[in-house]
Amino acid sequence: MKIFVCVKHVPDSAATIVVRDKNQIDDKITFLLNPYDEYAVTEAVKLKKNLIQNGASSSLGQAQQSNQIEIIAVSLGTSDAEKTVRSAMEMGADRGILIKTDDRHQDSITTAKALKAAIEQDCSNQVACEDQSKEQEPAIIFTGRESIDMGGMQTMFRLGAYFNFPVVNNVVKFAPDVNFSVNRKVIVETLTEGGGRDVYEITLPCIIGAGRGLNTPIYPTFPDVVKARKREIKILTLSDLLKGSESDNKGAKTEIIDLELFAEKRTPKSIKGNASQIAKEIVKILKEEAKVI
Amino acid sequence: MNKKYDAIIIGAGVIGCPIAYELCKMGYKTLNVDKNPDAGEGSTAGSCAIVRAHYSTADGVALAYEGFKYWLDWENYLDNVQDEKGLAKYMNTGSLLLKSEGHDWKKVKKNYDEVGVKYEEWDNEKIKQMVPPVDLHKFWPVTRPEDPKFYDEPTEFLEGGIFCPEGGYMNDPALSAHNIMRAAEAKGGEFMFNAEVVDIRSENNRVVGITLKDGTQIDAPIVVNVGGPHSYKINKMAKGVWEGCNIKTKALRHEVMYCPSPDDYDYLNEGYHISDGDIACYARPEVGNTFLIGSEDPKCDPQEWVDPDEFYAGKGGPGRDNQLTEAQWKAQCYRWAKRIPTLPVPNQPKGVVDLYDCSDDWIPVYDKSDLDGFYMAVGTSGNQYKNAPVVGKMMAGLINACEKEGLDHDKTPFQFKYQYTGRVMNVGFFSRKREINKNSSFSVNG
Ligand SMILES: Cc1cc2nc3c(=O)[nH]c(=O)nc-3n(C[C@H](O)[C@H](O)[C@H](O)COP(=O)(O)OP(=O)(O)OC[C@H]3O[C@@H](n4cnc5c(N)ncnc54)[C@H](O)[C@@H]3O)c2cc1C
Repeated sequence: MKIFVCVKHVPDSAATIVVRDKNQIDDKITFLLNPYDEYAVTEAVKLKKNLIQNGASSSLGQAQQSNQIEIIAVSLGTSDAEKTVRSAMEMGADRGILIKTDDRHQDSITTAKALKAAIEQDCSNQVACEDQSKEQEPAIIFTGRESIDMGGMQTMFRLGAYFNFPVVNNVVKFAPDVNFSVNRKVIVETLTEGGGRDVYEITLPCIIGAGRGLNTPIYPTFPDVVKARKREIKILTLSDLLKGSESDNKGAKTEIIDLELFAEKRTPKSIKGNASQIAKEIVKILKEEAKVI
Repeated sequence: MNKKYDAIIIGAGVIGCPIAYELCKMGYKTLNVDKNPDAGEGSTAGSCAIVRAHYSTADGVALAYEGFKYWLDWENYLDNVQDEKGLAKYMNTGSLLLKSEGHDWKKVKKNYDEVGVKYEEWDNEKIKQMVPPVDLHKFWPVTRPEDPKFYDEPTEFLEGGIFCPEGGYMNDPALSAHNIMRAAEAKGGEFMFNAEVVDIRSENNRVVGITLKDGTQIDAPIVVNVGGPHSYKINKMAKGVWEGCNIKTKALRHEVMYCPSPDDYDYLNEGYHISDGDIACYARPEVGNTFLIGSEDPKCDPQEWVDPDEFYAGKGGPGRDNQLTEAQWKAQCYRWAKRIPTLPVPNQPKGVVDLYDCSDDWIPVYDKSDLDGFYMAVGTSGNQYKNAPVVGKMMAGLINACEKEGLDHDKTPFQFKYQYTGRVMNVGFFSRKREINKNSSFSVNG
């Protein structure tokens, strides 16, 4: 059984972003694993553990199962995105695939096509699943609910459309069904606007967009880092991957014409008064201005 | 007419504030001028504020040990002043120095004996018992994660450590400077913020006052440079001062990382400050059960000497500006993660970047200058937070001896008697005219 996690190499949210040449950001800043993708990787690792522990995926022994459930991190990005794939592996992915491109900006159409092509290639190259009839197919694909740099929230839906798989985004709770080994169903909860929750029952294969709070990301320890160093990252190139395919050079290719900083100046203000006045004022700001409580 | 004071102190950090406080107690009318909006907002705010006694010179140990007594008795030191922001708190966790090739711990031990510092020797077993998640393998020499040797399997073990039950950290360094400011104000001291000094005026080789960026002139026969990482710029403003220093100061960039403690270890409440020369890191607990991880600047790491104005303005680009770098995040966290193998290292760097005001030999300059009436407490080299209250007293004593008692400190160095340990310090040790002190570790360990 193959669990794929799509990960993106994005600017550190704490970095000072500088716009260059009108439509690019100065990329000498720190780039790292998209924070929502941390939930995705963590959930994949939890799922693998859960399936092994509960013997849900087959009647095989635990050791064999652990070989047969594989987590593969896939990323489309420039060569430095290898670091992000490595981060996902340090967090628990078994292998990695980097689809290399020279152009840092890729839209959700190209990204989804590339991810699909890489996932399909991986599934047809290797027989790692115990369920022979399903070997050409990924069992489940995790993504983050969006990438923090583009914030488009489209890639997972396009990926779903290309694969013809169901997609659930902004997932905050995820668990395999109690009869998973028989029905291959998972139960997921999403956060809806206004704070409501929707619950879905989905049959694999499917695509899950991980939202904030789905889990507490598992960060790697030094032994995890050492282990991940020894594992393989397969490098593909975007042009090779899409060559000759129907998607080669087709489909909309969006272009960034102008890039502007959203918040150029921060205007801090100080809250004065005694402790209880300050607390009241903070609550008011959080309610009325930030609208987070 | 220019406003007049007995002494102007440039800087209201953790060193500038106690100098004012002590001078006020001696009857001086003081003014601290700082370009930041409040006390302690300079490099003091980025300090780890660790209070430990291990230094490579006996004088260094003695000064730090004297300092402990002030932190332990904080409210009394402040003469029970009220601060609307609350009081900073000294966390007396105890301090563990691992015996390693990275530290001359034998020298430290000898210094402890000489000064009378209380300590215990711990073997590896005892350390394991006191710090359960620790791995006591020897990882020496220090390397970087980019180097394949970084991942070599260690085979040997360290040989224990030296534990001082006294030692720890102040929980809020900026607030501690603010507390001392309030204490100084209670004794008549004045503070002026958002005011940048751009010139030091002098006549006939005697300082007469300062000029601010907006043109305001303020006069005083005594001016003290406590400008932290800007110290060299201020020394250059005063006629002949920079040229008269044999020991110079420069600003060195330094990153400190915040890494969560493993879930099953309550580092915040059960942990010690740890100095680990074997991996060139030091750590102390921080709120949120976090390890605060600093670096002892091993040879393999880049040293970035920067212009402090550019740095604080966020200029200079990655590795030179005031943002953490991913490479250093990994270097420091992974080094520490070798020592604590269950330490989770997040992908996103979190921590602080600030500047050391480094002297040529990493030992501070607490001295007069070649310009009469101009003094300096500079070159604190990333390790003088802990000494701040003692330095305040020592500098005030030095200034008073030179100004009121006619002492020629360059000829007959001022002798300062420590209030608690009773030891007498030859303040000439910190002279700007000294030759580079070869006994120094040339690192944050002083
Ligand atoms: C990251 C880091 C970690 C550290 N950890 C420790 C530790 O664990 N233990 C320890 O003992 N020490 C530590 N130190 C060292 C210690 O914090 C410093 O030695 C101490 O805070 C220096 O205080 P200061 O008052 O001299 O400087 P600062 O706090 O920098 O104060 C100088 C002030 O001068 C002002 N100023 C400068 N130029 C002008 C001007 N032209 N006009 C007006 N105002 C001006 C600045 O605005 C600033 O507020 C650390 C330092 C750093 C950077």
